[in-house]
Amino acid sequence: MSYQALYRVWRPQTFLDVVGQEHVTKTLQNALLQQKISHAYLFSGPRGTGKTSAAKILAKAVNCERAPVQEPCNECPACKGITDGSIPDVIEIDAASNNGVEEIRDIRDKVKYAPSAVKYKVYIVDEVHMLSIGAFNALLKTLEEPPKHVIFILATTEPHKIPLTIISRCQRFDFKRITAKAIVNRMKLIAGQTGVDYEEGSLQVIARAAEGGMRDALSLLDQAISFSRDRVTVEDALTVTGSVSQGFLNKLARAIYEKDVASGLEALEELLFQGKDPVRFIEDLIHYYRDMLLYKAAPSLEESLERVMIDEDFLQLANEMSSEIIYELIDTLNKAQQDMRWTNHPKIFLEVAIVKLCQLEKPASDQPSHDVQMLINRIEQLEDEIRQLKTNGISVGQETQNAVQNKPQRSTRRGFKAPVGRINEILKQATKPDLNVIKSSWGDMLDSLVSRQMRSQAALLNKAEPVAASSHAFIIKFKYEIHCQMAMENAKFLEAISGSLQELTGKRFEIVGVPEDQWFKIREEFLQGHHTDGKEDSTEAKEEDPIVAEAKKLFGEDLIEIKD
Amino acid sequence: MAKTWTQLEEMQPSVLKMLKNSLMKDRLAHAYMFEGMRGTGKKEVGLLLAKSLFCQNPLEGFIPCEICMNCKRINNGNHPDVHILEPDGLSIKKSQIQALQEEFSKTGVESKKKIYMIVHADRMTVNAANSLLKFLEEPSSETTAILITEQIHQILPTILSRCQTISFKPLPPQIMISQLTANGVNPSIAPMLAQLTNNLEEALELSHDDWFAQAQKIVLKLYEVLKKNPLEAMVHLQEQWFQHFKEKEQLDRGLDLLLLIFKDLLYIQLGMYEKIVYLNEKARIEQFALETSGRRLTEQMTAILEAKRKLQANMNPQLLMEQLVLQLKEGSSFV
Repeated sequence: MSYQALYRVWRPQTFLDVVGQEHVTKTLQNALLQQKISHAYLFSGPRGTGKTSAAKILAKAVNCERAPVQEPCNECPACKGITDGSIPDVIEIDAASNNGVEEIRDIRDKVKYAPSAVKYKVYIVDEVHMLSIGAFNALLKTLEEPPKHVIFILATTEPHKIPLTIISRCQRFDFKRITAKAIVNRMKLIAGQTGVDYEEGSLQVIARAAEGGMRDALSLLDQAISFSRDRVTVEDALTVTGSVSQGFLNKLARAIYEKDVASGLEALEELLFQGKDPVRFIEDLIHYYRDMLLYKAAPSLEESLERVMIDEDFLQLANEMSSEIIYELIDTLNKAQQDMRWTNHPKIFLEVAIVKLCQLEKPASDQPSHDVQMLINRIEQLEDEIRQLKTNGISVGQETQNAVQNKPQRSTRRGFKAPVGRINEILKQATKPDLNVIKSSWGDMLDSLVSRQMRSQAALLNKAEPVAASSHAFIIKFKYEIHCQMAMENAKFLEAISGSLQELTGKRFEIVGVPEDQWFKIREEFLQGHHTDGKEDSTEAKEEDPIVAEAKKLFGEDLIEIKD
Repeated sequence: MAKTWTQLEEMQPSVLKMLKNSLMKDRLAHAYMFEGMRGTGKKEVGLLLAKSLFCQNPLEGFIPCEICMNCKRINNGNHPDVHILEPDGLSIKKSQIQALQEEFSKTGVESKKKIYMIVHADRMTVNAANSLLKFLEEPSSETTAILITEQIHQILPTILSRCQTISFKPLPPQIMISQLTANGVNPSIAPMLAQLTNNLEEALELSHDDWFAQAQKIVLKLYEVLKKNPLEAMVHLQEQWFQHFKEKEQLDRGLDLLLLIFKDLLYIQLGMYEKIVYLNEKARIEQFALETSGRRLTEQMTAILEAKRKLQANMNPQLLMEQLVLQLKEGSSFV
């Protein structure tokens, strides 16, 4: 005999083994004891919840030689015969393959003959939803008033496909999804008896992935046992089920919360590289947020959490996120999940969904109406300015003075001279993420300029691009000198740009413009200076900093040349 | 061309580890569901498993020898106990499943073992799938079933729960790219091919295809026209797009290419420059990226994905593209 799958070997043989369906088994057992067995049952419920098994057990229990009993004895010839299929009076019909009127007629014809070996003739009609309409109707009369030695048990996963006239003639039992806890207990029992070594957490993972189907759980366990070396580890379980560890979900949720699209996508890439299933993953993510919501609402209800074990990261994130955001996240994910079912490229949907999630908060925070939001922004802006004035009041005063002084100077010169010192200063502190922040809101900024009736000025930026940024200043490279000059001398325009960028990014940036040809020169020099000096110099430069800074305060940076 | 164990192990290490352990421990399940994207080697692994089972003197107990009579016959597709079921026309019909069940009610011709493979299991009709259920759950002894599908989500949950699902990973793009360049494909288009398909042969074919080269140009042109003057895009559709993308598959590929442009734009905005696939047009796309915003990009990508879905639902291609163009232009109408 070749190897048999766990779910076949461990098919329940008594009502006690049919776990998680006490409401069904209790009723049936009482009916058996009181000998009030109906002539037709309908078992419905999701896959792997024990419908067919319960039907077989019932068939044994009614025919058991020790009847009335509440459990089949599994020892008498009748029970044994039914188990191994040698008794012809228990007939299991695959309704999906025999779904025509012809086959039903065949049943009808044979129903009237008395059973040959046991007390009752039991017809187990599996997958009954596949019967044709004609077949259902042919069954009606027989089902309503069969001879008293006949019991029909219909089993199906899709009760809504069954005509009401059939349902009303049966006692209907709805099987529920089996709870993860019950599945784990059953698997523990099986693993213990078959001598399989396992890690505690691995069964949890499998039970969660099985989604209430015992057969799914046992299939996965089977697979995990095959996959593992000698011990079923959590890692094996994760690989086999294609689900992801909670650490990973935490990581991604954090990236989404912090609107870090790049690391979100990176995490996703890594995940797919490990061969995880995007659809399973999105479901995991939805459940993750669902649990978070639940946890926020009722922290004490730990056992109702489905996917999440409460750990530090989760707690922290749960405290930081507001319920509204979570609602929105779940909504978006749900939509993406719907779309993913119908495509060959679920990966792309997932990517788009992640990006969307990272951009989400805007509409949520926009809720206090657009006008109010604008006012809030203005106030924030003003506050920022005041803070700046407070911290380095004098220097700001001087800078503005300088600006005033510089401006006439510049315009008297022919063409535009870029503020090299300032640019170098920015370059020193420039970082890639800052630049990306600017770049990603660049398009939005242009739009907002257009909507503020500054179309002509916005056109100046058509051929311009941000090339470097530090945390509070950035450099715009203009293709033509004249554009640069026009833009830089228009204070209102600069204010509009930095204003709209502040709205978009939440930070205030100073703007420095530079024409393309000068930019290349400056950058070249900066890079050279950086390379030849190496690290030592940069530390030295830091040490010198106070003096230089003081000098800058006094004279304005444009006028200072720093020599060693 | 049948592949050997070592070749496939390179492609799908975890799948073969799984099968190897199952064979070694003698825990081979009676039903497997092989699931994964196109070109990931599902059918090859299926045949390999068949060879492992039937081989007369396997190496180390599980690697098929490839020289015995059984291995050779399986490679040539005429072993009497290996049955491969493929869609008859567009779908797998109930009668095919019934014939299969009848065939498997008999013992094997040469040994007791029998194997059946159902290719494109997702294309089984509802009737066929339901007929398979009982047979799949409790087959006569020594039967192994292998179901192969690209779209696991369209398979009945009741079938899935009866099988051991094995996921085939897509080839990592990096490996694909290096394989392509090793095969003489221009490095500048290799990343794009790796994004479009997972099948090396298909990618190689595309790389020599004039139609494909032309398609890239037209798609890029469409994007440019969209930026400049959205209404002109309608004209562009008529003049070039429909001339070139005539068939449904071609249109699908065109939409893929269009989607890749938007993905590039997104990656540029995020600073992930190594992910860009339109290498030939990098400078221009970088410029485009400045003029758009992440939010708009995701909206546009959603629109394209939606269009792809509609295409699968047999929408009129012309209306589909026109609608898409109108959707894409929204928001980018400044200047």
